[in-house]
Amino acid sequence: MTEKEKDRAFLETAKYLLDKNAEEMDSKTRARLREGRYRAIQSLQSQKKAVSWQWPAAGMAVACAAALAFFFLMKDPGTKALVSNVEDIELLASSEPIEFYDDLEFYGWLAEQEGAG
Amino acid sequence: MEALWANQAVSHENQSKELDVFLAGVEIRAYQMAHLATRDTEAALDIVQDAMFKLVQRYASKDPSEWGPLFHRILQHRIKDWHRRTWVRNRWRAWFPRKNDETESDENPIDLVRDERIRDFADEVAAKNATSELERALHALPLRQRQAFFLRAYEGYTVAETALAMSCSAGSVKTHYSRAIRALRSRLKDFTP
Repeated sequence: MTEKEKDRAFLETAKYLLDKNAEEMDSKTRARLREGRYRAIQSLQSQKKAVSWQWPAAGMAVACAAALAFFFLMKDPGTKALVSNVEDIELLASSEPIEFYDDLEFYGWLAEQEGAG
Repeated sequence: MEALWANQAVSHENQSKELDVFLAGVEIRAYQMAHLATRDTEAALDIVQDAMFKLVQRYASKDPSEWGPLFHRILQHRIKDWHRRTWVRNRWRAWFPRKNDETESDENPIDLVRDERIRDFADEVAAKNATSELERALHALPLRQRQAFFLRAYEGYTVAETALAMSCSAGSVKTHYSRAIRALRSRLKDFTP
């Protein structure tokens, strides 16, 4: 018998014994292994459930954020506020009496009339 | 949209079933490996369960043909971790013996001798059993050799698959495997005609 054949015979014997040992494993150990497997599979299912809720929730959050951003940008309060702020500063910095600004519309109309006349 | 969700649910269910079949096929041999490495039922069960969890949670989406080497890779890492932790724990105990250890040493030495005799007798009885002989020989192998032997001879993996599971090169697998066979054959002379 060659060394290779001896190796093969040895491996067959070893494998046979290990298989036999596996077959003879006590029912308690088998049950615990089975239980561990079920728990592992359950963890996958709960993980998938969590993921299946996470994606729609994330989508909703992004959509809400986009809608809010759109709403505020369209409203554009920044420019108007800036313009009114500039007008206020001119008013405060001016040396004219405040009544002048109250009648500003009237003075404008008067200038138009004079120009036409 | 509903059809998409229903398809997804079916594919998840199929994946769970496939995983279940795969794990059911490897769990006993995985336990044998872990038990041979640890000689501790609880530790072996913990190791196998950890490996199952990790495979399911991290690699379930991989192709089922890859599950085998990946599972064994995780399993071997867990076994190695166990050895490392046990080594550290033993060193720690050697430096700082616990109270229990001290009380054990206070026992009557005659009792201990009697226990050893019983253990020797039990060993002799077990030695008559070829399976026990094989288990002892496998346990005596260095970890890497034992891994190579189990994966190649028992699981029937190719050199490449074994290399993936052992996180080493194909050349190392061949070396570990041939050394394992040589060591086992010299120890178990009755196993060859």
